[in-house]
Amino acid sequence: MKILFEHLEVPQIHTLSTYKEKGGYQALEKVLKQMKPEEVISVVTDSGLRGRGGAGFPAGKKWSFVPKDPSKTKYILCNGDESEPGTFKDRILMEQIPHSVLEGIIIAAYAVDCHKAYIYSRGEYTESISALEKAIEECHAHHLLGEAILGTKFSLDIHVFRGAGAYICGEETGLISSLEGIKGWPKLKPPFPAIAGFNRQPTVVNNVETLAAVPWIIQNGAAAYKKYGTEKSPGTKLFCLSGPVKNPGTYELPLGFPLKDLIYDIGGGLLNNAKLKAVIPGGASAHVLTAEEALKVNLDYESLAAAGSMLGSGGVMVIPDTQCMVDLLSVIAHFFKHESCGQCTPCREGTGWLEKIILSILHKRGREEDIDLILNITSNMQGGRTVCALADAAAWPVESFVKKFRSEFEYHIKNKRCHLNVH
Amino acid sequence: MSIHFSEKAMKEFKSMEPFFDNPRSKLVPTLYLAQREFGHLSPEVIEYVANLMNLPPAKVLEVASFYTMLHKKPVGKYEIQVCTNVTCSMMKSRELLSHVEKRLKIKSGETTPDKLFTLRREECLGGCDKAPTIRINNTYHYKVTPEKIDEILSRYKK
Repeated sequence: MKILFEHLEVPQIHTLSTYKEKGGYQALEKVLKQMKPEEVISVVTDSGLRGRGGAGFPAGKKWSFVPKDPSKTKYILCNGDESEPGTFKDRILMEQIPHSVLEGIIIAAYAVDCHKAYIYSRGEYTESISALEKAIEECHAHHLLGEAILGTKFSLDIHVFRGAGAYICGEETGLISSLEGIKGWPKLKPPFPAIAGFNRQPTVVNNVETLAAVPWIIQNGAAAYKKYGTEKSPGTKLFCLSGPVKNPGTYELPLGFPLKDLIYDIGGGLLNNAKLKAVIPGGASAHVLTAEEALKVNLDYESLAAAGSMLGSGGVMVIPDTQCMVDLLSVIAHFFKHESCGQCTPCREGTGWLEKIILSILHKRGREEDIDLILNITSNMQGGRTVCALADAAAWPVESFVKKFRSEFEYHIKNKRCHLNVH
Repeated sequence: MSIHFSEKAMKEFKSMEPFFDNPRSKLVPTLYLAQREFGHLSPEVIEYVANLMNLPPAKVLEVASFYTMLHKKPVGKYEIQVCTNVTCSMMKSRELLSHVEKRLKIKSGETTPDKLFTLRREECLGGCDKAPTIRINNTYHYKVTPEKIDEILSRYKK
């Protein structure tokens, strides 16, 4: 069953005419002509749609926090700053079905009384940006954007904002800072963006995939959406399967789908029939799962949390037994050190020291006490000691790699070489 | 001031006005525009943008220096970004990066003496299903092998 990718294979689906032929913008028409804003919010709340960017916050609830005060300017920021390693799903939606994203934004804007929305695309996604800009132009020409949308009193403008290469701008308050023309430093919450966000006005920040699911939910109803997925994680989600598997790619699956089936049935198993060593299930920030844990877990918010990891962005990275975990962790540690914005001491210093210690183990200079030192640093980076969650996100992979594959780290320290002889 | 936007760039700069309720929001787009016009954001360019935006140059530099896609130093005509994040690393992108370093005789972060190529080790580019992924200016290349990159690079000329 496909919701987001229902028409992905249709030729020319990126154009307005084809999108409309396939039923596009009917949900918008229904919303503008038959529904009150609060009815839209209640349908989305009832559907159980949760944020698909990583945090999983219920979308309808987020919208309901926006004050109804008509004197306030409200904004919608569509987060397309997809930078979580292992994630490449929003890009497909923006490039190939841009109108589904726009329709979702227009519906959300109507629901929260917003008249100016922005799509924040990561800087590298130039194809996404041009696809969205073309689609916006088509919408203006056909009364789907601008003044008097579809002949109603509702008006909305959408602008595409090009990010400039900073992972932290995917964090909602970092994104807001970036849009405000200051460096992408996250802001303390509260106040939450719904109360004081962009330009200190009420702001909704939703992921591309979250918004793209909205038209289908409006058109088919909350109950239809809840037929897919699990009770607590309803609907479908895009999963990005990568690593040495036979069929890597982005797949839309009902939440609760077994990870094992994604890797072995859909993904065709590992290349060269390698043995599975581990899986990172939700982008580089997620706790790594051992093969044994991965083969038992289902892909939904609750199952992955119960397994000690997270659904995150849906970036599933498969690790074969030929991969040295010390080596792979050095890659992840480098990433977080590079992307820490430098605002909070535990994150700025912690990510730097973690990379240094892991590299010293990798380069045969490790000391016996380094493993405990790493775990000490990771525990000091977690649990709300920083403005945003990047410090936690940097600590989780390190902590889980070291705890679950401790013997590999110990081998490097003790024998001053790699147990697999791969570096 | 000796540098200024071309007429086209100035028109683009002015056309951004209605996009934002706070004029400061134009800063990142204006820096992109300046980069397109002048190649990189030298101290002179920073000062020009600061004047244009009515901001202190230090505030403009603070923003320019935060983002990796805004260049503070001159870059080559072609910027080669090699992803070395989790999936690409597993699919041999770091070996690919050293291959390119050897071929171009420069290290990551450097520019060839003829100013043709700048090489960069990059974080996830969002092309993990076709790893290893590289990006040259605005074009993505997928499943890149040393042979394939030799062939690609030979196509990029002055």
